[in-house]
Amino acid sequence: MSEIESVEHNVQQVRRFIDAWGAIDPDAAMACLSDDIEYINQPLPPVLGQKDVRQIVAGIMKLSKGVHWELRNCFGYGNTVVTERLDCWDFDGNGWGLKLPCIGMFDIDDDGKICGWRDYFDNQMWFDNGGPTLHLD
Amino acid sequence: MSADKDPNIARNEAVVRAFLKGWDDRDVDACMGQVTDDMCYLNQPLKAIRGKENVRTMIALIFEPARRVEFELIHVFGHGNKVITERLDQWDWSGSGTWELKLPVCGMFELTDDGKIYEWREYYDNEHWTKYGGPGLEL
Repeated sequence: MSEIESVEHNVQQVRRFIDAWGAIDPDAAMACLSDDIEYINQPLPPVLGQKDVRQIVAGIMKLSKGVHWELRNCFGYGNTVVTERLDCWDFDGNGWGLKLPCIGMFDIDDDGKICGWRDYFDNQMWFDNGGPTLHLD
Repeated sequence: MSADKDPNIARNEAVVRAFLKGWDDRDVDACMGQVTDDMCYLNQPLKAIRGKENVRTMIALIFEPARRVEFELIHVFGHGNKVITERLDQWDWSGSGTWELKLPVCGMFELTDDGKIYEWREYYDNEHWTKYGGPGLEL
C-alpha cells in the first residue's frame, strides 16, 4: 500500500468512527478501536483498553438523544489523522443543547485500527452544558 | 517524510514552525512577521481576536509574565492551505526553572497563497490554562 493509500485508509477508519457516533452505535464505534486503545480527553487522565473505553463511550451514548459531529477538517499524515469538529449534542430531546468546538487526533495501528484518540476541547463548556463524566469512578 | 511533498505545504509548515519558534523566544516581532494584517486568532471557546495589531497586543500580554516558554511539537503536518499542530505548551511564569504549566493543545492554522497565517484556532482546556498561571486571553 502506498503512503497516500495508507493515509486514505486511516481517514476512512476515522470517518467510520465518527459515523458511529452519529448513529449512537457503541458496537460500531468500538469496532474501529484497537484492543489497547488509549483515549485521552485533554487534560484528563487517559482511559486504556477496550473494556474501559467502551464504558465511557457507551455511557455517553446512553445519555444522548442525538449526536452529530460536524466535520470541519479531516486529513492525515503518516499514521495520524486530525479531525477539527463541531460536536453537536442533544441530551434531553430538545435540540442541540451543546455545540462543542473540538479537535481530535487519532493514531492508527498497522492493522488499521484506531489505537490513540486524543480530544482537545474546553471541559467547562462540556460539563456546564450537560456533558456526562469522562473518567471511570 | 516524503521527498515529494507539495512545496506549498512544506512552506506552510515552515511558516507555522517559525511562528511557534517566536513563542519559544518570546519574540512578538518574529511571530507577527508570519501573519496577515487581517489575521484572526481564536482561542476556543473565547471571543475571536481580529487584526494584526490586536493580535500583537494579546500575544505581548501573554509573553509579559512568562520567564521561559517551550512549545513541544508532537505533530505538525499540512494539507492544502491548512497546518495542524498538536503540542504540549510549557510555561515557567516565575523563573522557578520548572514548567509550572504544561498545556496540551491543538492549533489549526490557515495560510494564504503567499504563505501568511490568516487564521489560528486553538483548542485546549481554558480552565487548565488559567488554573496554572495563564493570563486572560481576551482584550
